[in-house]
Amino acid sequence: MRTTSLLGSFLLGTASVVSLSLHAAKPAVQEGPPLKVLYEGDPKLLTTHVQMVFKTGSIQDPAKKRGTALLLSELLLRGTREASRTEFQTALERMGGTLNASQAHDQIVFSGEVIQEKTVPFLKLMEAAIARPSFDKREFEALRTEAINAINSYKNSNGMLAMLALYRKMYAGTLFEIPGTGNTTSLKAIQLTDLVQYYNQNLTQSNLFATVASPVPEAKLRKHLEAISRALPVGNPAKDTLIPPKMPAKNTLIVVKKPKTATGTMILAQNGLRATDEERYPLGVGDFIFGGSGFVSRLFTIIRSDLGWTYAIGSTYLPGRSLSAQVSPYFISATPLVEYSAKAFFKVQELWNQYVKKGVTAKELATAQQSLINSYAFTFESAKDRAGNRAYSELYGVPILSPEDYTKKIMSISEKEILAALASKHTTGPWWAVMVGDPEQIGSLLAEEQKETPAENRWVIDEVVLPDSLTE
Amino acid sequence: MAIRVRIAIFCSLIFAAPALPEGYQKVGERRIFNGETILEYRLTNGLGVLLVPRHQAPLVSYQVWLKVGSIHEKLDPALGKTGLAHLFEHMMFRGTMTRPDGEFDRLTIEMGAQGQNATTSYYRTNYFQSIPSRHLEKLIELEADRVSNLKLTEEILEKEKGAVVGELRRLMDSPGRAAQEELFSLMFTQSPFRFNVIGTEQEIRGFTVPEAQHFYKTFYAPNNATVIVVGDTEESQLLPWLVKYYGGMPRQQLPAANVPSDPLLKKEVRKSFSHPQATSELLMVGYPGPEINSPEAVVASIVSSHLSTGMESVLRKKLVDSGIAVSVSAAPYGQPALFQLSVQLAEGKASEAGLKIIEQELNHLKNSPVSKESLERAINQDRLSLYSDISNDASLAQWMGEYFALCGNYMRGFEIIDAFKKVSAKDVQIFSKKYFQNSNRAVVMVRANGQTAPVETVAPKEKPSPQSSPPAKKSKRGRKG
Repeated sequence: MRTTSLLGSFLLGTASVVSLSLHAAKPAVQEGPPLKVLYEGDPKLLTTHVQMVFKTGSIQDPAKKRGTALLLSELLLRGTREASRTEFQTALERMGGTLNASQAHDQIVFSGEVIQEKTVPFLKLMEAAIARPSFDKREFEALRTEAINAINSYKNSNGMLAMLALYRKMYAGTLFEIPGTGNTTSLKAIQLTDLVQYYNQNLTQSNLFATVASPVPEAKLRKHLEAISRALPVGNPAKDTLIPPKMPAKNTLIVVKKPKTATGTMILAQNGLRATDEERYPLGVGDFIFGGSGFVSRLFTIIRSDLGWTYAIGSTYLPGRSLSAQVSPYFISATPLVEYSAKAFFKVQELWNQYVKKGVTAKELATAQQSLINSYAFTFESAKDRAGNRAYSELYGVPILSPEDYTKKIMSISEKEILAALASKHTTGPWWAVMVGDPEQIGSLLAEEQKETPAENRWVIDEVVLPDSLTE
Repeated sequence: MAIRVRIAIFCSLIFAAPALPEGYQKVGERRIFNGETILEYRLTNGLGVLLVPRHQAPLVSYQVWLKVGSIHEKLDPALGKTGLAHLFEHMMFRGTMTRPDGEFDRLTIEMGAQGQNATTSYYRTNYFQSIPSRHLEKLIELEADRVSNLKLTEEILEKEKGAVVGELRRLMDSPGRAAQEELFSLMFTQSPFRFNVIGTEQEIRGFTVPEAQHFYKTFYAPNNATVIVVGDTEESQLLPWLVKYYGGMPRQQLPAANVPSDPLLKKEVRKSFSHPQATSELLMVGYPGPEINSPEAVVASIVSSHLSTGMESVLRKKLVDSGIAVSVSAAPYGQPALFQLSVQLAEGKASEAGLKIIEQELNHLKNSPVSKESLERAINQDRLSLYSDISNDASLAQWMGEYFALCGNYMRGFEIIDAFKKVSAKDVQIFSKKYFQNSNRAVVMVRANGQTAPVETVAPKEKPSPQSSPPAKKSKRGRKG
């Protein structure tokens, strides 16, 4: 099914659909900066892939109205001034096209793909959606209901509940304590006028650039892409306010009450990295060794392969997304068998402490370097990949290294540099931790594992939350 | 003169033909719609090879497909249980007679392998990864080594059981998996499709080294396997390497997999139960489906797209846009042959409401022809999906492998897409009347935890004992959460 789920939006920054409207009185043509088009051609492609990227996102959501950027981006795909949602979508889907919208804290992206011979008609539809939305009230109401239903369905996923609980703590009192998809309360507070206002202020020429991967020459597409841009107000570049995660004064464990689970979903988190941090290379290599590389990581080989306590285990600086201008959290996650959940919880910390204090071995480093260098070619595998790289560079000012430069960069990293980066960015604690399951069972498993631990150093359950409280 | 010319041409053809190294022969060559060629070979020992040369990037996708899944182990008199095919998929990443545990992972990761994983289904197991093409020979050596020299010890088997039980437990926490297990057990009363791929915890814990050795020797045979390669290589390079590393594997006598056929349900069967992790209801409906090789498989694909692909698909509009559901999908299966619909209801909404709308829409398909616009929409959405997928090496290999494992015809997926243009609204109507019969269907409703589950079960007399774990159609050896 190509229909995009709203479920992934909050953490992954990938989301759904959009459409535009009537009250957004936009002049027909506005003279602004020329549209930047990041074009990657490939005559063998059977489809054209286009992204219109706005450097604005859920960080511009009005206070207490989290989810505004998401609803706006979705609504733009539900009707134009000339065509109802059904007419618009039918025309799009009949030609063999698809158009989705995704949002993150700092970007709204309209991504479309179409059978290549329909590229130009497709771009005209894209223009209508972005530049001449209908802001239909009935569509808005239906969309809001759909978004609320999606939020409520998060409760079926223990992994999602763990992340919601974690963000609520890590970003308490800030915009990020509620995901970009909003919660049921914030979504109910959003009105159609909020979307129109957001649209007029933020979907502007100054915030826009395009990426294209296509067999159709750029010259044939440029005027159609520019037509989208010129129909928008010039505006001002959006600001990306920095909201760093907050670390607790002591180890803090939150349990999401979900009795009768067969596995003990767990996440440990502390501060991570920004896209421009110098430590991203040494810590990228370090995390590859510790938990990020799957089959050969320490977490995987010891806790899964040797001990057999869990199926899934790993670590990352940001699940599903690349680093951004914000400080991302660093996560370690696992789904151990319930009876091993406390053992796995402490083993992860033991391995982490070893990693932070002693770094990596020369053999581990050599494997990681070889792997990263050899796999770098996949970064440029397709025209779509290459366009995506350029978009990332455009968003965060991070250069795309050539394979030669990347090799030099990775091979220059030493064990000492990784250790220094760990000391600079990480600690052995305190941690935020979330477990999903039966609080009584978790409490007793933790107590059993800490019989020899001095009372002041023991992990205890600091808070028990109910699933409903995380989505309301 | 004319004769001389003919002889000269004949000779030049003979001498121009590449000298094929002993150990394999070319058995086919098929062009696909984008102008690319699929080359088919067979090694002397029966190993099948499919190759699509592509040189856009110095990368190659390498996949090994074995025609063994959970139905084969269940039908094997020496085993008679399920779960070993999947457990074995995990074991294949451990040590061999010549390489210690962990070596395969380390070496392939060092090569820069991407998307490395394996999956097991009812009817096949596949292993796959993409690598820079300069490492292809080494990868072939490693793949051939593990498929012919695996070291099966009690210690490793016991360790891997822990991870597999972890996978099973994770599936048990999924209401969707539980629903699918129930659906299959209701619909398939005779065939092994009623047992989930991953097995039960008891079965997994109970597997022994001799059973694993029997399974390995029987099913991991060259004449039961196909290597699929898409990317930066050529016959002249690839085939000699395959012969060198796989050529010594002995052909095996494969047991016949006589899958018992399942009788068509004569009366609707329905089951409703609550799941501890469900906070909203889930509905699954299964109708019998066409065999993958039948012309009706083409229509089934279009019907699926009409029902649930895209914003304008009819079930999405009626269920999701109306606020009754969060998501909906409708899709035909190849093996077992069925047409399955799944609806994740919105919180507080009942499965019965979803079922009513499904019935309305299916009745609509039976009673009136779909419009030309709807048909075109459904067809082009499927085309877009294919066009997008096959530009990627790994996706094209997966596409060919899945159809080859399903029906022995790696071109079947392309044939289905090609046949779309011949499908009429009338065909859709005939298909719907034939397959969407309420009396032949099974319905599963998962209630949210804490709700009273109305019992509406009309269970078949020979309904098997419910498994304690959900089915895993494509159980993956996941790397991380």
